[in-house]
Amino acid sequence: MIIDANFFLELFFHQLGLWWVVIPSIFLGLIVGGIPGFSAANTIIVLLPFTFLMEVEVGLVFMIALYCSSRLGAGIPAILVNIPGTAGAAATPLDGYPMAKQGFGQRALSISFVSSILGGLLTTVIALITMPWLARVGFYMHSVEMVVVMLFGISLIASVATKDTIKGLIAGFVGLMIGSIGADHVYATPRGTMGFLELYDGVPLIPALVGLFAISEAFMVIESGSFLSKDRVQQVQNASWAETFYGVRLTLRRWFHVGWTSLIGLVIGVIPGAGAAIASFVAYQQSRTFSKTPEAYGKGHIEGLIAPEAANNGVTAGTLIPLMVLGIPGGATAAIMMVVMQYQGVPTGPGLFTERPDLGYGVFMAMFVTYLLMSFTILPMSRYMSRVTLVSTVYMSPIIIAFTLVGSFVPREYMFDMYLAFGFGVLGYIARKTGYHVAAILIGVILGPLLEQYMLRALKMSGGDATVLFSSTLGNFLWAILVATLILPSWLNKKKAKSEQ
Amino acid sequence: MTKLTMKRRSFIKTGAAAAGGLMIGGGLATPALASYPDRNIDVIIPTREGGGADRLFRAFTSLWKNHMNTNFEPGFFPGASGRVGYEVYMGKYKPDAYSLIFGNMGPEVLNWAVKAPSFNIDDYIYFNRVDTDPGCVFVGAESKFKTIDDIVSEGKKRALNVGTSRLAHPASIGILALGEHTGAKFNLVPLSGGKNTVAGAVTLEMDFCVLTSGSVIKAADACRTMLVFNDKNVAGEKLDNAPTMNDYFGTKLPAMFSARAFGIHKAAVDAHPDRFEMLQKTGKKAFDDPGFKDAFLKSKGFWPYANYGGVKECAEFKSAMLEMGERFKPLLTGK
Amino acid sequence: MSEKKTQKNIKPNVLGEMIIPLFGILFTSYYFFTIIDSPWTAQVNAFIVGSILFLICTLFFIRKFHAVRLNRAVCMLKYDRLLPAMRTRQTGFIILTIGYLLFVELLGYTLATIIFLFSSMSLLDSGRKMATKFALSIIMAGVGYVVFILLFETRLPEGFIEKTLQEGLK
Repeated sequence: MIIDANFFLELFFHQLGLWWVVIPSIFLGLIVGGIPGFSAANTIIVLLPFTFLMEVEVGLVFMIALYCSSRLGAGIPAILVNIPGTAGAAATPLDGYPMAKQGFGQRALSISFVSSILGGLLTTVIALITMPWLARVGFYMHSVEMVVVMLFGISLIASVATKDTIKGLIAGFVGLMIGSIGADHVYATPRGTMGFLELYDGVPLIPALVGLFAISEAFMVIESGSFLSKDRVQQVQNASWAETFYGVRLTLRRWFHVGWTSLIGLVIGVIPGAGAAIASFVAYQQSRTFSKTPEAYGKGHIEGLIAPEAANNGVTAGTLIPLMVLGIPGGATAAIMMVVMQYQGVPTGPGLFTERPDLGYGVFMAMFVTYLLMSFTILPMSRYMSRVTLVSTVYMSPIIIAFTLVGSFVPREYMFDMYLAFGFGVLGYIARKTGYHVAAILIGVILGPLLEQYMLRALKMSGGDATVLFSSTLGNFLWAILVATLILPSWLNKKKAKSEQ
Repeated sequence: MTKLTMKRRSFIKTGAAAAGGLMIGGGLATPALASYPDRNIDVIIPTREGGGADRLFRAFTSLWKNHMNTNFEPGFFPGASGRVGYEVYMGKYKPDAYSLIFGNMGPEVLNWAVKAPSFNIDDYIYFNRVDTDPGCVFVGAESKFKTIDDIVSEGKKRALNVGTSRLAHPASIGILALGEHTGAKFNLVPLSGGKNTVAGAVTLEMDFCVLTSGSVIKAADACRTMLVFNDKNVAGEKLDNAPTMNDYFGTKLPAMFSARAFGIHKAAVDAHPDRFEMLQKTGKKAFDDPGFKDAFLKSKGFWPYANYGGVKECAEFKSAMLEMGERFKPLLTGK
Repeated sequence: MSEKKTQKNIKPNVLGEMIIPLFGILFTSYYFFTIIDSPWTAQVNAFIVGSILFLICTLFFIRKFHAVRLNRAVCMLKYDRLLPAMRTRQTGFIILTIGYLLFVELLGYTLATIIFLFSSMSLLDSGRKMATKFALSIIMAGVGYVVFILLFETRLPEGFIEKTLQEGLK
């Protein structure tokens, strides 16, 4: 088979012909992505027998469409009611929710959709072209380098709480301590588990996510009776299609921002085991660092919404690369895809592109087609979805509590996780009431265990020698960038202030 | 393919009362009846749904249920390397032969050697072993090591970093035993799970890795196998015809298996020997059923690893694991 | 006098702000206690993070103590001043949520959800439009039943409603 432009064109139209699989999968993905506790991975597991019965090509297209749209779906409740559906969307409400509270929910959704779709399309094309080289990223990004990448994400703790840095740091470090609960990564010694076996594997993410964001928010918003103030209600009621198009225009004008933040997602996605949460936090942190208006972040900044959404969709293409090229899955969904491919007798790894190039490249083409079809199917929905913010909190708060508590139960099916979500809800509520940033706590809880895992791996490999953290060229280069991104903004600010004087 | 029915979780939830999030199967237990079993049998699976144990369980019980004339209802209790599932089974379920556990005798028994559970480990018995998947030593396709001799001689010069899914694992014990026998230095680095362990070898972050060989076979050309911790390399070419440790080095290491088997309360065996007898007999019949091979292959199992074992084989393996765990305890616990 | 009282009320109560750092310190101390005899791999991360947390909290306490001394803030252990604007409705809603968690196992998911939704909606809206709220509670719990129990077969606590429906579906 000759791999040329004609081949790709044929593949494109062929995948487009599978629209009847793609479109229903998109809607299913939106729903499961939006409900905390559900994800593309566990939906595919539940629907595995159907997938086994499908032709391999149809099964793969179904999984890809579900995977891509669930990423997008997770951002919707994150923006409208401050409930990220998955850890990958945990950075989305930082600027998305303030926008919705200002009555710009429709615009925010439109920005989120366009940046996700553009980010997804762009990274898919880049992945298609550069696959063999991108797959090598895993050969260079080892534990030492990943420690620095994690620190990029964790440094966000200091910047999300600009109002009161010391309180931001307290929140972040409390989060990091909570994230340290569980068996140690080397000798499996239980630590800080309070005797609960359910905490041996660490704090489960969904209960933490649901509790800190959704449950505490549900307790907060009943004070006002509405997500929006009175004049904002009017604004949302009167919003027309123009709001959606305005959101599209705003995002398209920032095409470069979408581009580079989605590339961060792609590169982090390629590293086995890294994932969307770290990618979106790092993208947000970088976006803020290089912004001309960093002080506006956290208050409804457009680029603060674009960055995490473009990045977590970039991850989608990224996680498939190690599976396709090397035969090692980059994430949970990719691992399940591997099971399905093996079940159908399709090789994974290098053999895929020689034996079944139509499937190997087809997977990425299916992703491209999914993102393309999403722009026609999902974008128009932003106008109707945003009306959720008009529903009185008298109804919304109890419904949010009931559904998110169940959502926290779903991944492991332990009642314990429901209690845990409530506990995090109370912690989040107290934090909000007393001026601590819940996002800072959450960053600690999500990224803390990852940082520890990589750091311990590096230390264990070096026999406990801490200088290993500065032993690789790429690692040192990343350290330099990290230090620069932490110091440069304040140095530039001081310089600016001086020149203004 | 039709065996994998459309409704994936076929368990019918009659009478499964939940308390503390933990199903209490015995809560609705009826007095001993002549017609055992007169209801579904609960099976605790101490790993995640959709994993290898789940698939193997479904393949085996799809046949076993016909011989037992009842349904097997799985309940998944993942966490703490299987500890949660065992604690739930031993602590919450009544010993009446209406509840079983489907565990992995290798890593889970090693767990007890490292840190004892809250129950007495002799209070349950393994039976109906379904498969044995030996541990192996493997490298990434681009590794400089070509044979196990290369690894051993390099290990004598410097401590080699060895990726493993976790320390208390039969494959980890295997490589520690090799180090002890040859004098090579191996530094075990746990990478949390098989997926990451394969990645550790493929991306060359680790010098080499150890894992159950079933996972290495699935990684196909991405890895090369160097040594198998069994008496015979039954996978042959699939594991690059790698030698076994006992053959090649003349050791007497017990087989380092990941071995899935059913477990039952010892109290249930003592109180209802007839029921246990029936479970064993029908289990063997299910294994020998011609349909089992088909179901096993469809569950993505590697047929040469399907290997039935009765109470005796299971008990021998359990005690071998406990002994090996005890021998290497300082290295597994860091104390 | 009343003016003075109002003025005093505006001042932030540092005790509320202390809850999170105190929680952090207590938890970290407990955490340290659990790893005293552990290998270094279990300790290194926690000792670094925990020590920094102790340090920041100490700085924070000094700063707040200073503020109280300069009469810029108050330190009072009074329920409604601890968490500003915490109202009775909110307290009631939180109690209902705890009740939901406690009774969901006894009553089963669907019935507990109907009761929780209806009672909390009524509490938050002082008992208006009861019929709408009742209908909405049943509909939402029904959606939950269909999605979580029927479609995804989640092992949620089962009670009278689930068992009756199951018999009916059979």
